[in-house]
Amino acid sequence: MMYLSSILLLAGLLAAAASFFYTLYSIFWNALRIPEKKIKMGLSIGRRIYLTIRNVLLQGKLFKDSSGGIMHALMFWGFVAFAGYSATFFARGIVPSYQLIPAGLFKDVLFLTVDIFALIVIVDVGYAVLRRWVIKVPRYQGYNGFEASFILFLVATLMVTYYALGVLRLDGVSAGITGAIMEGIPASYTPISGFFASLFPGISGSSGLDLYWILYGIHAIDFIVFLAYIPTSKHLHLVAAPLNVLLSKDTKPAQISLIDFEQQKRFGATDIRDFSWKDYMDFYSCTECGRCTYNCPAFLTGKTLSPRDIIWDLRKVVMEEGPKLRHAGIEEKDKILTPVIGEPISEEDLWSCTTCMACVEQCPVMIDHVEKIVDMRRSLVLNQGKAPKETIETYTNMEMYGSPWINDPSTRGDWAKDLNVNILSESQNDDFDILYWVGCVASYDRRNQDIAKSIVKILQKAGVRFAILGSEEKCTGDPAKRTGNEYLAQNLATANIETLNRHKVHKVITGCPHCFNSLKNDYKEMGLEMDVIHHTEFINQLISLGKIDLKALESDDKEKFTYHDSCYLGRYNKIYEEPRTIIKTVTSNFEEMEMNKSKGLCCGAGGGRLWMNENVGTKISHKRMEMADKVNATTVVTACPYCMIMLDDARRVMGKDEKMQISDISEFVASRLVQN
Amino acid sequence: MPLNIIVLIKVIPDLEQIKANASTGEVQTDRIPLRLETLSENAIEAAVQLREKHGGKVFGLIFGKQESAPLMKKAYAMGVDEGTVLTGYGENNPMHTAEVLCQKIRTMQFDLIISGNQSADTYTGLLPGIISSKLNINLLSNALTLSIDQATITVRSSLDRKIQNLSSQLPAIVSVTQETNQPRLPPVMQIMAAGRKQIVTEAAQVADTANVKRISNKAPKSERRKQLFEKTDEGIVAIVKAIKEEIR
Amino acid sequence: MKTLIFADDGEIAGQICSYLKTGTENYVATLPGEESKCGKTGAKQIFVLNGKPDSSNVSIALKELKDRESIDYVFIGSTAFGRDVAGKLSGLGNMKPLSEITSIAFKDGIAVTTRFLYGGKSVLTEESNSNLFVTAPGISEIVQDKPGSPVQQLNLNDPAVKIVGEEKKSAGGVDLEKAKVIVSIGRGLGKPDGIPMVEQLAKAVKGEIAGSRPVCLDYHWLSEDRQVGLSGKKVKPKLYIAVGISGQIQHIAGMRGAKTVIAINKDKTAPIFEECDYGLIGDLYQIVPKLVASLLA
Repeated sequence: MMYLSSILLLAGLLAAAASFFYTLYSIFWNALRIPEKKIKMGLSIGRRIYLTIRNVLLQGKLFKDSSGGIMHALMFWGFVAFAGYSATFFARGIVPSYQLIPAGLFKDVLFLTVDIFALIVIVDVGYAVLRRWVIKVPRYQGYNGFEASFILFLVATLMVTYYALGVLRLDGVSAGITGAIMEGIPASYTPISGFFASLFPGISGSSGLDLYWILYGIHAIDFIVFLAYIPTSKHLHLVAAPLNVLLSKDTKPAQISLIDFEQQKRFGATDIRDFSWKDYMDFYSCTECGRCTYNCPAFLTGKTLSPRDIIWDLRKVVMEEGPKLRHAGIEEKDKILTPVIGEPISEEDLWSCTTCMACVEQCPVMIDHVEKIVDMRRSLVLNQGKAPKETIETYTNMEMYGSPWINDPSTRGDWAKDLNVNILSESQNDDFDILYWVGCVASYDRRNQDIAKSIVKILQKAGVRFAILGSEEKCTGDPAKRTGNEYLAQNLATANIETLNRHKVHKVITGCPHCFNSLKNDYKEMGLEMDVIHHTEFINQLISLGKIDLKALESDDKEKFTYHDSCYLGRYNKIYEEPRTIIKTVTSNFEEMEMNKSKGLCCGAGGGRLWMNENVGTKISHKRMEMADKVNATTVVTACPYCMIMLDDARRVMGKDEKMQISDISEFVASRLVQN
Repeated sequence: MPLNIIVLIKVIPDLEQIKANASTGEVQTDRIPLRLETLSENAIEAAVQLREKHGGKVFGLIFGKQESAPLMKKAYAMGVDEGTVLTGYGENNPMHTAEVLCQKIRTMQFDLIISGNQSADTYTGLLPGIISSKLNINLLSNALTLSIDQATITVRSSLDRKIQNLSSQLPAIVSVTQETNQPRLPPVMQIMAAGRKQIVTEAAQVADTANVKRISNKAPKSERRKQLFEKTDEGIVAIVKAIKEEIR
Repeated sequence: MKTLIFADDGEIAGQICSYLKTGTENYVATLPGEESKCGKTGAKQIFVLNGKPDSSNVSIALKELKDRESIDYVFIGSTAFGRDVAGKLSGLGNMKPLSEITSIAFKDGIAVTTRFLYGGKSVLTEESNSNLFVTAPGISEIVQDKPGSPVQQLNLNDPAVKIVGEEKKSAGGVDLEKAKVIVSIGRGLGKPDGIPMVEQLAKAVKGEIAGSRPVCLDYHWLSEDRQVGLSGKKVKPKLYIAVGISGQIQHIAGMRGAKTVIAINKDKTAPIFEECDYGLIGDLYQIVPKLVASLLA
């Protein structure tokens, strides 16, 4: 009997392990053989270890959603402890006399941990059931199918049978037989099991033993099924997610790879070969948890875009086409692989993305959704010339005028003509310390010209020797890059880099977070090294250095300020505190809106959306203005011209312009400068 | 049936950047960047779409100046297979333009000529008709849609007050409108291939028989009052008064 | 000096005829049903071209008339059909055409003309010995104060192209060229939902609604025949109210003839403010309802 059980257990375990590793093999074959996209791994070992400890062992990113996060962390830690138990369980099951972990304090503490966590896990499962089917947490809706229920069932059964076995273990009955792994553990180290045991009446030796075998069998089968099931389900994340964190590509996931147009033959992501192995790890790591989707501004305002579905759809295609390719041979790619755009991923969804990075920020397993979306946009734009009509017009303008709008480039610096500013296109006088990069919006849009003028006022007050490029400045290429037109983006960047080098610019301040991100990160990748500072940082420095002083306006007492985070300043470049510090040096009448800082809701303009129509659902900017209204804000401070355009428009259209104004941080400062 | 299509492409100075001299009012066009006339882009797109459907070749013809030549690259990128730039364009003179183009066209094999119906700079709109007469081929103008079946072309022609469905045997000349299609963004591969393609330049063989003498070319003067109001209520009072005067 | 005037729209033929006034002997050719629109504008003779007109048979007929009547100058109304005919006739008769003229005067056998160039950014004044003038619609008001001109029916040849079918354009019966008051909307309206509000304004000033190119052709908020601009209608109302129109030069070219122009736009630097008599800077969604209220008060 004991002999037979050992064989059965071993066979079951081997079969499960074989299935587990075969599935993993096929999955990793996909990840290593299909992708053709090359990536750079620009992260230090130390940083990787830090990220792994923080985000895997300590479950750091999960706590961005606190209730779900705590639930998962407890489950995770419970499972880590339980792994030790299971190893011992199977070791003893196969060779009854074998002690995997020698008796002693370590083993006792391990069992104590397991004994406590098993209960926590059961409670957790109960909570999960509550969240999914009773409270109906929105982000799970539609994802509560067989897989979710089955996994919870397996987990609960595993824990319940653990306790049942613990109850029955009681020495003398099962001692010394297969799997009686608690043998020798002092009862004080399994207090919960002991407590449950105390609830049940004693059981006779023979019937107790029968029951023991049944429970033992259930526990073993449960584990074996779980093991085999993991890699085929979303629980692949147990394997993939820790690896994904350890193999993080970069600290800046928003960095979109360059295309070498001379060398590369395929542009963007058309089918699954056009992703990188790291993208595959992203697919495998996804747990369908939905944090991405439920922080996505497009989704939150009624568009059909769901970052979760994008990842999951791509994963499905990989899982379907991968095996076909493996059997047919890797050279059959052209025959087997099918485009992923259109079906399953709609073009409309790709164009709905504002590239705000809320999804990436929230993802606990460090998936980069945005890069994949931009890669698919690239496929449409660069290979087929497909983009929304307005976007194509934008491209034409950027090419023709160096601005996304129809603007006569010779008038670019006109706003500064009477301000005593060194306009390089006219003066060609390179005697300056810092270049103020104005950007298209502040150069041409009347409302935003006030921002440019405020920045000039501040710089002049602080005695900064600065210059602007005037008509030599062109769009940085950000709207082209984020909509997938890498070709145009690189052309513009090349022209700008040439101009910047010609004027020997080594330090730049800009009032536009999109220009800022381009100049600081994208241009750096193209070989331009400059010190790039956003005006929020610069103004903050000027204040702390005492170069400028601010004084509250009398009206400030009656005002309520709030700050709207720009995605390209916040999530992209981690500048959250500077603008808040500036506001708070002047006034304490400040209140945060919901969704702030790293959770900040996009204004709806990024990723080239500023130039597209927003016709589905409500406008993102309107949702944001409602949030501002909820805290009774009278002034919404921004630090981005895109946000200014969107929120200012929303304010007018929603009829809130009497009670609310939008003000750039530079305007806020310029109007409160102490004159001396 | 594979088609040989000639598409007539116009290069114009970018109208957005044309400015009048502040003191003289004379309009200056020198050093203004050149671009393809938008209707020429529609014409190219229409030609390329027909080629994609029926096979054949799209031949681009630009009549312009030496500086116009690089613009042929854009046409190549949009899908034009081969092209010639005829130089020697002087001022707007449709009869001369037509004669230059016809001389070249007479040396070529073609089934269809496509051009824009009017150009944004001169707004002439005579060229399709003149060429039609000179080459003695039918004109199907202002196409909203165009399709070819065997050697017959069918066009939905948009006139001011009606739409006509026209058909004709090939060869013919068709003029297109902005509604005909939405020119696609050229794929990068095509842009890069266009960069490597050769541009043939030929001097026009016909002398310009200019019969028009330009007296002045000035920005139209506005004699409006330009009373601007930033305060809504104040403005409304003034405007209501003005409106009531006009609609009395 | 004999002129032959052709327009497929009798109204435009009448405008040209009225413009040329005396000093020329004007022959008019037009299509059936159009002759009454220019019947009393002083033409010596009106020819009605019967049959299935296309640019080919009409240009042949005009050439024959021109030769028969020893015509010195041909004027053709600038419509889509008119320009085709003008082109065909120029090629056929080896004429010297001049396009889109907005005025003409003869001085010692030389024609002095004006026309817009560069999408309306400039006005060309030219001297020429041209003998075919494509004439912009609205060169003059139509004046029907002369005795009725004699009408002669002519038959056209068969058309060169096959006319398979014909449909009227879905016009809302709007005649912008004749409207005395026009309220015109532009991209600045932001959304078609704003149109009812503008209609209130149009009602208050008893005007027609018109729009800029993007509004009519790109977004289809209004029908195509309501487009004002170089490529649309050229209008001459007494009052033109531009709501949310930035004033691209192509649009200005279509409304230059307006007597009084009022502009409402949130962008202070919008070019429309250079082309208006009264300009109100601000949000149109606030201004228009207030304006309507004041007008009705």
